[in-house]
Amino acid sequence: MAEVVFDHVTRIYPGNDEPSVSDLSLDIKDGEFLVLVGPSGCGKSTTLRMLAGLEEVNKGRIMIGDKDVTTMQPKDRDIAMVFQNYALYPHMTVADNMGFALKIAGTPKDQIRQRVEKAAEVLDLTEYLDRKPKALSGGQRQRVAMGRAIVRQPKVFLMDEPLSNLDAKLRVQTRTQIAALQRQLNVTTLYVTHDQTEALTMGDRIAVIKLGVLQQVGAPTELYDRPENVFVAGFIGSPSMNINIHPVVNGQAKIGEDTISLPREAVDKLTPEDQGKIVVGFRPENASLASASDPDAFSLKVANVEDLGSDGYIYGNILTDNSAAEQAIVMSDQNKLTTIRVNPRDLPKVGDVVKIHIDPEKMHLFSPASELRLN
Amino acid sequence: MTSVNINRATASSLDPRALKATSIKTTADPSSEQEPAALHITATSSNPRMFTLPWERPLATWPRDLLANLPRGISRHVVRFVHVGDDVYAMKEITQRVAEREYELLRKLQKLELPTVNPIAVVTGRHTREGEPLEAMLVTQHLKFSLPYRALFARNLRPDTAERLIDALAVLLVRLHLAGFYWGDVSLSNVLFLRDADAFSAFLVDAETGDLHPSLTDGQREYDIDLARTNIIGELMDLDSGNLLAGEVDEVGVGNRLVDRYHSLWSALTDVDSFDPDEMWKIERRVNRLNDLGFDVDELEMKTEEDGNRVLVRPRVVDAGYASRKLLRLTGLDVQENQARRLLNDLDAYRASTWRQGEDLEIVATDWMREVFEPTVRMIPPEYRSQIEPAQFFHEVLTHRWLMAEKAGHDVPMAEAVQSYISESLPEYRLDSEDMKTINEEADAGVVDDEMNWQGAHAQAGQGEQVTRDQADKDADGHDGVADQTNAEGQTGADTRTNRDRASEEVQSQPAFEDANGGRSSLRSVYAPGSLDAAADQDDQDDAVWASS
Repeated sequence: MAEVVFDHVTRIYPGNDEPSVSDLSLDIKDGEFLVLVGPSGCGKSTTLRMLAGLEEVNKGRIMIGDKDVTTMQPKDRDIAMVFQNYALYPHMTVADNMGFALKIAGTPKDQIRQRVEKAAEVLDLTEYLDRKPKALSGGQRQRVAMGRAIVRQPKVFLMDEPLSNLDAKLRVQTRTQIAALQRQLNVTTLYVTHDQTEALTMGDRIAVIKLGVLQQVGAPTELYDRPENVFVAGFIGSPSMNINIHPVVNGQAKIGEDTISLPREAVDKLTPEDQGKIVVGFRPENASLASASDPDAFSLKVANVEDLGSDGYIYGNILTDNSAAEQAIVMSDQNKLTTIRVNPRDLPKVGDVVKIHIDPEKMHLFSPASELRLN
Repeated sequence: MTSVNINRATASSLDPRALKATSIKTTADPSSEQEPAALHITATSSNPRMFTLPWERPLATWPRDLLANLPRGISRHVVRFVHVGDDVYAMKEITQRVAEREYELLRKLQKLELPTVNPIAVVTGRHTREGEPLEAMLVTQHLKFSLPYRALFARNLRPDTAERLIDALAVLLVRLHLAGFYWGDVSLSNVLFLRDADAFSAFLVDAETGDLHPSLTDGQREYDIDLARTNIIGELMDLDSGNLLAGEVDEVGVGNRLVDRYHSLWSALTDVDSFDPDEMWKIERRVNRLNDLGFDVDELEMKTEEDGNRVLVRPRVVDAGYASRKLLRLTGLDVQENQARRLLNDLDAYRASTWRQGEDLEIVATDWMREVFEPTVRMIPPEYRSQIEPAQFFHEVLTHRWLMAEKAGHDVPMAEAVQSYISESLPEYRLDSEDMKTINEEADAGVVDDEMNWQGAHAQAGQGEQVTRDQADKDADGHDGVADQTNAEGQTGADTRTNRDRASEEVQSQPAFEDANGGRSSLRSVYAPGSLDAAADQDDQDDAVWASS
């Protein structure tokens, strides 16, 4: 059990000018499941490897508990990289497969058995302890591999995309198991993934990182409900947030010939660098169909609709008047289409122009210049 | 766009050969992870038979007549050896992301001329006839004559086998680390072994967790070594549990041996030596020592200490293969390092015994090939041609001949030595079909993502071991089950001997290793200069990307 602290940590690869991880300060509380998420090359794996002792730290320090581990060898850090491809040994029993590393370390036999039995209980493998791997299902085999890490009782678990080499079915199953297991064992865990769904479903807290710079740390709902910048807003959530840049006229966002009202305190925070524009973001579920006469709605030309039974989705293009100044700039990545979730019974037809009202409480406003949150 | 800067920057300091290795560049960008809707093959070979394979079926259910019956190592994923034309390919079912990543890495390692299996293709967009998506496949070339460590232990080999395998693994690990490759999963299971005279050479087969860096940190190297030690001890303990290990082997001692061998080799290759300016002969001694270890020295980095009293020297080692490159140049034979050394020694002896010390070595080598080497290896009986490499055969015959001569007190003619070796020693090379079956069943026991493999086992888990095993057998290989049933119905009471014979025929009749022209074509495929050129050409080809509509 231990807290992990990254204290102003920087990693610059030899021959590079730009750091891969830049001045990272982050703490993982004792027993916490922290998910580090970001796109390819963002520095998340580098961060994990620095904690593991595989990458050197150029500036700053890393603490595990009250020990400074910055320059310590990996094997002295009391961490476990969880099932990076653990092989199962066919002639050994499940118990031996889980406990052999303790045997190598010279742990007394009765203690090994005790730890293995405890791990087996957590992993639901007790009745299989004296069997060989051959008699187990795929999921059980996967759990034996987890058992190998658990019996070592490390201070910290490190998991680097542990689900990436599992097939789709086993991935969902294992995802749930890892999360449940971690809560049961209460071992401080750093989990790295590029998949924001994994992050949202598994972590106590999520740290979003981009180009080596930490963007935001918080509980999944915090990141979803109050993203601090445009990147986090677009990265967290699926389908992703609709994000567009619009001109601000008389304190309102101008969208084509329509206007929608903006909270005063957000507009007041705009600076000359923002050049009279604002970034408006809203999630597909935070907008609704409005009447043609609704004064606080914009027009959307329907390009496609989806009926999923429980939900309906409208994909469309925001109507602008095509003048350069007023052209909406789409910042979200969904084929440049705006996505709205509606009651599937109310789905319009493709080609229709509909009015859309955004829930003002759930609107996310950002500065175009700094990309930081305004409301 | 977000990732470009870092990738480019990191890439800039990598070996340029590695940078251009492949057209496949994996990213962790989720949008690029979509499986293609139709079958998509990216391949380094242009073998059209790749398209005729039953990609629409899970690998575990591929028809038996496509499969090559070769021993497999332990893997978490379904692996099969498949005949594709004249080649045997290893196919591994795995997620698209991991398949592409591993393909890309293996291509880079090949360009850096490191001992790894050769990647052939990545197959994505697989679907069943019903439209269900199937996992992607990584295709690599089966390394001819290679064996997984479990197959080596299945034959009662010399008691020091474990140690010799460890020595080979230490060399492999050092070579990979020198090139900046962090493995992340070092074990005997992730390596294939080729006999190399009295030693072994190790080849990397699994790079799933690996990463290529401009250079490695001590932490990365130490982690690899520590993991290797743990895994090796575990693998040996497992062999011991299965009574496959000679009683006197100390598992922990063997694991520690890897750590020691690695460190001594690493320091021999990378340490900075300090000399007096008048001790420059010591540099030559260091270079000779490195050559003896099989490594070539590319450059010597020399600087003088500030007071000018000492010279600091650090060799820049390029790679192992000093003797094998020399033999290749002289004879066109592409063999392992120790084999090459033995063959070069024999070539030297031939030159001395024929009084031709004054002649060009190249010319003597041509005659030695024609008069000594080729006639000897042509005598390998056809049923062993898929089991023993010509150079290894030659080496073992030389050793056998020496022992015969010692016993007899006089020289023994080569032909006599060959006959004696074939009847006395060669049969040890046969991997019998029972062993093969056991090895492959064991290999499947650790597969986590294949329902075919464990469905039955799970259902029967509450019952006796025997029932479970039978059920698992059938499920593991549907065809096996069917074939066995037919056999049982057709010939009630047929003894196990019939079964064994049938299976052993299959072992020997691998079309890939058969050669219609007697020994010749098998020899030619090993050392004919033409085949080397062809190999080089193929290597230079850009990846051919095929997609079916």
